[in-house]
Amino acid sequence: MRGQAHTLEAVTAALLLLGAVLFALQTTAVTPLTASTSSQHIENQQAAVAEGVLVSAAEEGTLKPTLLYWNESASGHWNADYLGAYTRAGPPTALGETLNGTFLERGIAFNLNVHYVQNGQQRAHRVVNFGEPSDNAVSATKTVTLYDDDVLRAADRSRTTTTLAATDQFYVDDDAAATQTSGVYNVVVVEVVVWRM
Amino acid sequence: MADVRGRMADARGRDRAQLFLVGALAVAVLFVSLALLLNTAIYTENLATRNTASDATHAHELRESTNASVAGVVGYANYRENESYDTLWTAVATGVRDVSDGAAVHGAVRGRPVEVSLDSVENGTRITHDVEGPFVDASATPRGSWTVVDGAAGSRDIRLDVSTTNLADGSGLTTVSDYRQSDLFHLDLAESSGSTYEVFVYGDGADTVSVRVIEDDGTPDFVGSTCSATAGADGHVLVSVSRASVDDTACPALSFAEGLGQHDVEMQNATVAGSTQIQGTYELFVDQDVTTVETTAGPYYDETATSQSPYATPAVYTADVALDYRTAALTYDTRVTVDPEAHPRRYGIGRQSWRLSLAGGGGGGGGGDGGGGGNAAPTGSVSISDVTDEGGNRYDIETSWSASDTDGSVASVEVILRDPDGGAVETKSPPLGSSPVTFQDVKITGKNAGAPWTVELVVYDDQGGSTTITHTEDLP
Repeated sequence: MRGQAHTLEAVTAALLLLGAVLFALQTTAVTPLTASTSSQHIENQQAAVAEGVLVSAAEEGTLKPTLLYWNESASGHWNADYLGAYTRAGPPTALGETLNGTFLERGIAFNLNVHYVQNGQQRAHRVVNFGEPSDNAVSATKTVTLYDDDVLRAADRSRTTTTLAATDQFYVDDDAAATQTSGVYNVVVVEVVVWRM
Repeated sequence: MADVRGRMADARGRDRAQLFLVGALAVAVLFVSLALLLNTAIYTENLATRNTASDATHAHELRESTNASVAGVVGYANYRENESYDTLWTAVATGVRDVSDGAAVHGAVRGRPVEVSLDSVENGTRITHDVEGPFVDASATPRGSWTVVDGAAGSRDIRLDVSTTNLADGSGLTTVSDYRQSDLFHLDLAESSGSTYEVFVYGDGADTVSVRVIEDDGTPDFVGSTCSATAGADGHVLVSVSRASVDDTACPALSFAEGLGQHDVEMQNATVAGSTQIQGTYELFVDQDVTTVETTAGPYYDETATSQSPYATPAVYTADVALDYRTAALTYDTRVTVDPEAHPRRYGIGRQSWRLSLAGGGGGGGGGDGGGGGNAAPTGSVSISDVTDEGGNRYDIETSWSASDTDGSVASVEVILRDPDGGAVETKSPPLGSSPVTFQDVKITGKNAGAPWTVELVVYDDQGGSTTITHTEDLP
């Protein structure tokens, strides 16, 4: 009788201990801050860097020439890799060199999208396409206005004589309401999406 | 005697089992509380690094891009739609509305409404001298010392593109009185209640332009030190008083131009006793109505006379826009005063492509200056054969041209379409024999409608000679 009671208590004690250990291990949280490639810290840092790249490009005046680096006859960017977009590195412009140096050399992939307005809707155009971003990607944006008399750039980055108003082979259309007297061609949002490869 | 040993024996057995169970329970509670502590620490660190500033960063970025966009709209209006203050207002208002519509679409996609609206526009005047020449006024006997503007509330974007030809030399001067007693050219900004700033621009050795600023608040003194720059291939140096730079070098002495009160702008000693002390081109914006400028200062040429300057045209001095931005956690209402000086210049003297066009235009204007002795320059002709209205103020201009060379052959031709201001709208290099050439979708509006447009044909022959032939016609 006493032996059975002892055994029962031993079994209960063992089960209690085992259950407590398992419970404790299960409830320990692996949060986004746990060190890994998907850490929240890294995401915040990448977002700040992407924003810094866009702001400094706008200040230097290298952002718009990259948007205008367009080959009319091929309906794509100059020396693009696939379907008019760059898939292996940034474009061969000053902004592309900055992006390569900041991100590609550190193993961070990036997409460069241009969102423009067409008939009251937002459309997207890819300048740099590294594929589908991962779940831990961040993005930074900058709004830029294109004007009727902005000129396209040639393959050697020099200014051509073709203004945006004069061409209809540009990937951004002239916004319907913006054709008279104001000189505004379209308002575009340049977006850089970065994620760790 | 009582039998206590048995009871004691019983008690010890029961005590051992209870100890076992109680011990297990205590360890279990310890494990769970450790897990709880660990989770608390992780959660605290997570909370501490949450990024709550993203909404405000977007608002700031939107403010900067609105400033840049409206500055571009103001620049476009000042150079393309400047017949009167009414057309300027219409152009700026339409432009701000277009910028607002575009930004609103982008904001709506993310659930963040954006609105930009034009609050007010400050009317001003753009004074331009864009034909290379001495900095004299437009009177019958041009004066070298004259008032550019009298009592302007403000001025911006003052820039002088100075040529090294005919530039008075001032290399040996050292003291303030040396400068003030000399015949060197100086641009004066005289505050009504304050000091007078004299900006001396002179030559300093071969191909070098130097700038020295003297402030006179009762006792004249130098401001900062001398700024110099060497002229490039085109023989000009851009002195930007408003951006405090001489060509690409920063010139801190020129930064006095920020925050001046009401002041006069004068030019002194542009010519002395008939000899030119300085020549080139210049441009500035002043915060004064154009009719007031033309009656109290100058005199100025009429702005429609295309080959004469200086002239004064209506311009927008600055504009105020209201920016309204909302997110779930942020309401941002602000007024942005547009600052055209702070953004890359797209029009006028000193714009980004100015050096390229000046180098090309200067050569073309010189005409047949190529080739060695004995080569006969090529000949040609050009005319406008057809103008088709495409609607929306856009025209297709068809030009017929022909070119020939008596002692060789024609190597290539260029056909350039120039607007009434002389700026090249489009350049084509057609293959030989492919006349006519059509300029598609040329926008002719405002001041340019009914004004003389020029088609220029540049013919290059195979021995390095070239000829420029022009044809001017009122379009459309």
